[in-house]
Amino acid sequence: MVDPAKPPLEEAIRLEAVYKAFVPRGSQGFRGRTAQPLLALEDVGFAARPGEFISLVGPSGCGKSTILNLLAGLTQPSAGRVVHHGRPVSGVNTEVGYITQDDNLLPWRSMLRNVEYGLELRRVPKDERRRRAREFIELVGLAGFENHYPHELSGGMRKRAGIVRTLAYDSDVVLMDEPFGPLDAQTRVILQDELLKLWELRRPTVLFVTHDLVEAIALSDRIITFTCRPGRIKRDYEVGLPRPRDVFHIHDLPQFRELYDALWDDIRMEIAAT
Amino acid sequence: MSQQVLDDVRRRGARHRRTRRAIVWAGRIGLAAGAVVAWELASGTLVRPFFVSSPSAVAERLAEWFGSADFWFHARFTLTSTALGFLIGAALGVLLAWPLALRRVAYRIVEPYFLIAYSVPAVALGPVFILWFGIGLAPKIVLAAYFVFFVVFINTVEGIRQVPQGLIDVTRVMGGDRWATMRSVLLPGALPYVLAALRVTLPAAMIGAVVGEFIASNRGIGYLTRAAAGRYQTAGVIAGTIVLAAIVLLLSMSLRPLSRVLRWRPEIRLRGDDAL
Amino acid sequence: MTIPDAREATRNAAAEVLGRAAERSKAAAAGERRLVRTGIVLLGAALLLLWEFGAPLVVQPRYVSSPSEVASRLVELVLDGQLWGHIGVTLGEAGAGYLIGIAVGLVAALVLVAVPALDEIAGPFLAAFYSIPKIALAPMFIMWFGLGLLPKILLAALMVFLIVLANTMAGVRGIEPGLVEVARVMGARGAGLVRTIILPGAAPAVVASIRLTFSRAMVGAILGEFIAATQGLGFLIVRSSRQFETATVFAGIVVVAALVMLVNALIRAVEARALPWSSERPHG
Repeated sequence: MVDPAKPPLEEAIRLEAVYKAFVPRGSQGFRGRTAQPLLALEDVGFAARPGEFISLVGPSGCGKSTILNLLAGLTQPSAGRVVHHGRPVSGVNTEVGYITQDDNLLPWRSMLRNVEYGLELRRVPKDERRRRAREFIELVGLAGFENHYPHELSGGMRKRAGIVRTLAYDSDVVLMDEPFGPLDAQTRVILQDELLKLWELRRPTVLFVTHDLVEAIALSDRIITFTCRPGRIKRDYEVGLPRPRDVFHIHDLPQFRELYDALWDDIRMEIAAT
Repeated sequence: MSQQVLDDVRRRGARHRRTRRAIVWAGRIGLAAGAVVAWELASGTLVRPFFVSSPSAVAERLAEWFGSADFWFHARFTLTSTALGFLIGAALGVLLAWPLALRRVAYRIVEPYFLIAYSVPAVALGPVFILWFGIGLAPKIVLAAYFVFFVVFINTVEGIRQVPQGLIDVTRVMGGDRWATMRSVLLPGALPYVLAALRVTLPAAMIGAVVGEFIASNRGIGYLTRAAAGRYQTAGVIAGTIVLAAIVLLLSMSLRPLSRVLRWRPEIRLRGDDAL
Repeated sequence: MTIPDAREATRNAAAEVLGRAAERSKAAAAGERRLVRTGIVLLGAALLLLWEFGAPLVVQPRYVSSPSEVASRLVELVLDGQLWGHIGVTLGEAGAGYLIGIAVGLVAALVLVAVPALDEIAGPFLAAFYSIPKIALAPMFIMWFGLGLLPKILLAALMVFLIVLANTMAGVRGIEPGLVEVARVMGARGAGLVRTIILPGAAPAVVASIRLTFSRAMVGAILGEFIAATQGLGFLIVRSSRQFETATVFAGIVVVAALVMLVNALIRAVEARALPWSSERPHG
């Protein structure tokens, strides 16, 4: 058992026996009838070391995104504790970076001003934030598109902008919710490669939600699989592949196959169970 | 080779479009000219001029009006009540929308009353305003403002509410407080709705003012038109109607560039814009 | 602690969490509902009281009347039978104009859809006609068609016609081209295509416009009555306002609003029956 009063220093984040129930939206309040709450998470507990890249994998609707929302403080656990840097998360946690499933770029801002947005909200002086933003824009090859509006960018470009917007303000924990979901397979791999390179610069702790097993193996140090609703931790895998990684040829490594099969077994059983 | 094919297709397409456009425009101009000529010829032969007057008589009346100070006095009256009503109605609509759109309970409390007020045809309130404010400028301003207020209010609320929650969440996680959320997310997000509502309600304000003049007035273009009808001066009625229609068209076109101010081109579905 | 024990503990904890969540959300929903309901009642009562007792302090009572006066006037009008005549006339004008406007609008839309060249030539004229205020035509109609029912019916029809026309055209244009192609591939053509794809596909937009336009027909009829009439609710309102019978003016407005809401509810009920699959719920 962990002593909550004295958290080990070697932890960036920790979930302790977290339960989360929620009332489905939209079905609420019709003629005063209230929908039954659903259990999204059941007894979820794990911790991430600083600099660890962890993927959360499981069937749709098993509460993986809920874990990110809990860490971001956008929602509170029904039971259990969510801890960031030894302090329980209460209220919106502005110390994490959150890259949501939708890119959530402000449609009325140019790409450059979108990338600056986080720095602006953190009151970074204008020159400084412009310099930082341009640096990151350069890194992901978006230079030349600074004055384009989101609707003028391709899906991949929007994703890149969304990612560097969050990375530009340099938080030590980054939450990513299926950031590459709607992209085509080729763009995905390219972005995975870029993400790893960006990550290597500062090595923040990353919680990465995905459906894609190959993506999870290619990127992570650890992979946690989840059961279907209610979401419980099924297994916790160490990936153990050497870094830096070559995402384009990750399939060729002998360990890949073994891990992939194990993960696929987990997921298949969960999907079959629903 | 491929360049040649492309050029060929482009040239042929352009030629085809040109001829087609020429035919369409010829049809349009022919239709309009034919209608005017038929009107002129039919008047006095097929139909009694009392019913339809004639294009020349209407043109004569218009020329006469444009030359008289009297007409411009009436025009100024109508435009003044339109402008003031528009400003008051729009300001109230925008300002009242903010506190209500952001508080769900307050909005749910007020909503049924707004729905009731909205389903009272604004026209029906004309006599009340005239009863309260006399037959001068004030009741026309109030009526114009009433025509504007609901559309602006409803669409501002809609504009605030349709801002995706994700944008708000992301802003908060990145360290934005209430004020930052308001300024950086809600205001720009709702802006296109407000602008679109303003655009459609400017002509609505004018219609409100004219309805007021129809009901009771001794000034304004609406009054001119109605007075002409009362004296069975067909040319005057038609001329007045044309002037009113032209002003409304001008007003609705004048604010069209407003939506082009925004480079990010959002798609909007305006509510209640066909209320007139 | 053995493994079954741990399972048991987890399950109990989960049940407790769920129970608490259900309770809390129910309490929150009930609390909000209570708040909203009392709010609505209190606000309504406050408005009525303000009108009844507050307004006379600020404005001359005879200009604002009061809820009690309006109510008693309404009862009087119902009892002496006057009201029914006015309602009949206005509803008749609005209803006739409404039906004529819908029919003409539908036919015109079908013609324009069938003959695209006509649509292209007439387009700008229709657009211009669409944006000029139909209300402005009221004096002309009165002059042409006299004081009877006809000018009001035509005005009401005109208010409806263009909306139905524009919505029907938009509905036909909004049909997914894929749907038409699939039907073509399966062998539908001509009248069959119109009956199986075009009409049902455009129906939601058409029905939406039909639902939204009754209040416009009422506006047309009432405005016509304002300008010149000897009967009808608009006439009742405007005559009473000239005679400073404020209570009657408000009674008339209440009746107009009630009629509009009643007919709208009726149309919505019919629509729900006729087109149960329609998910189109336009605002307005």
